[in-house]
Amino acid sequence: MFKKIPSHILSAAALCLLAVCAVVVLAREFTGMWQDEPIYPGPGVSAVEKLSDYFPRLKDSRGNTDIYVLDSGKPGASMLVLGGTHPNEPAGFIAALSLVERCQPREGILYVIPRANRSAFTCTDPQEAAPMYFTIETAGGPRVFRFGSRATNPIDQWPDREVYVHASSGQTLSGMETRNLNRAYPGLKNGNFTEQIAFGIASLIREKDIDITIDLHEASPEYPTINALVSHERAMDVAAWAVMYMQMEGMQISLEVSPRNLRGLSHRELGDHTDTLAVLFESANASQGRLRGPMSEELIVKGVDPYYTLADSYGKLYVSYPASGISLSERVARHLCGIEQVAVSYNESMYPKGQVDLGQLPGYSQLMSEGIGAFLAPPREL
Amino acid sequence: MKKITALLLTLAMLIPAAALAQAGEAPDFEMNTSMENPVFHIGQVDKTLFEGPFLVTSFGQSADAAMLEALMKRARVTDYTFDSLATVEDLEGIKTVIIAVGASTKGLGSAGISEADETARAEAMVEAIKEKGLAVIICHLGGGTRRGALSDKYTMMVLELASYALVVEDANFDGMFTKYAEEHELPLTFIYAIANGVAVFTELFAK
Repeated sequence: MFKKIPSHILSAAALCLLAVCAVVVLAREFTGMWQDEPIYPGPGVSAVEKLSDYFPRLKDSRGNTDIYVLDSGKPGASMLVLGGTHPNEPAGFIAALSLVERCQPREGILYVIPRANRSAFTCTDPQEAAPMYFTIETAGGPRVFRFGSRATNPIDQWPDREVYVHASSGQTLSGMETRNLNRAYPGLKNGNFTEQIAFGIASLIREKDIDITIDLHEASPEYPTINALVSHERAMDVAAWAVMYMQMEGMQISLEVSPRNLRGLSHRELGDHTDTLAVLFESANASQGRLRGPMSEELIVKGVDPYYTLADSYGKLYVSYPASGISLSERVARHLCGIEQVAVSYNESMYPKGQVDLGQLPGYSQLMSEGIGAFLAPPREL
Repeated sequence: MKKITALLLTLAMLIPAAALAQAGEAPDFEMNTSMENPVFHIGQVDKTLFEGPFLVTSFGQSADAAMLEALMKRARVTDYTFDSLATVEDLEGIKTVIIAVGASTKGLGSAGISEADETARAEAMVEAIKEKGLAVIICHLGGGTRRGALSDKYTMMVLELASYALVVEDANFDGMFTKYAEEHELPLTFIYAIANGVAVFTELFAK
């Protein structure tokens, strides 16, 4: 009655079905990263703006990121903190996020962009075997965050050119830097997607006449510019004292001058093309390095890696790498302490616009002993 | 034959491992300074030697020169010029030269000069300072990380000229500074951290 279906067709159909199922599952996982994790604005947040308010072309794109405004109500200076320029450097994002949730400035205005390159949060770097998420335990339960990519999602900007030419200087870099926000400054109005994000950030700085800009980063422990504050020459006095104060708190930190011949970076271009005092912080993140063992969520959060400890024992690193690791809490603590000390140093320099007082932030030793989770808002329905 | 090859290969692998292990040995020395007692003097400095106008410069182009300038500002020294790439011409009218020593390849790159350029500039400055008989203060602010062949070359160039040394103490892990100070009766102050230099400079340059 029914014609028998040949077995090879059945096999092919079964395989097709399996392939479709795999595609659906993987697509759901992939697109799951497109959802922004919640940020819970604390009592210090007076407004939430969008980057498209300063560069409308970014509207309806993944470059349109939130700007949290923490206005003390008392006139003074202004500071911008950029987290998430590279979402695979999570200490920058978490430090910025904790400012949004905890900071209550007493003087001046603080602007925070926790996801400077929002597009780069929506994918991971290929061939790195990076976990898509990491978890931080808070008093009210676990909070899950994305571990993104160094570069803009290729879905938003593709293909990369063989050679990336920095627009305002003509400097040539590897094509992979085309989607790197920290090679795109000061940005370009009609440039590629990443250059437009950079242009939006520079527009915000110009329009609000922001006095200090701090870009938060991490790097592998074998990278020479590590545990460092990199400063534009105009910010050198403020940066020098911030570094000295951090050293007085027992932190290993050095000051580096922003190279004039390496273009596109925030500390160089924002310092050159706007009036802001531009600095950048680097902390040591083993999950970015080439000497690390297996890549895992634990490595991102706890930072324990025996191979880096071994490399340190041979004196081959630019930082001390203890067996207890360099945890995310410690890296965030360094960033927060650095931000606070830059504000203190700026205030002592008696700039005419007044001061920026960030109020009571958790101290370095407190963050180290209690962990960053103790200072993040517990998860809740928004 | 196989056994000999295996033995040779094993030896070849062990040699770099031994070299690495040697490189990793941490220096063992006792610090005179601490967070609680951040300043330690060796010898008596003659403050009258150091008069303004001052020139603040760098030998090695590390960011320590910027730290030095920050110390000068905080110590409320006003009659100084800061130029990390100062040349012989900049010594005109100067009475005291304060030099931050310590090499940084990143700093040299940032300044757009080579190691050879910097050494030539430093040598020319040394000759001119000797010729003019200017007072010199050496500042080694980078600690233990600012030691090494190139940094030490600049340090020795300036130590030979200096009438006073200010050193962040962990740079003295091998006793280089104490040995030099003792042998040449050079007044030397160790500080625990760079910021402790403010108190030292405030006292040194007090009118």
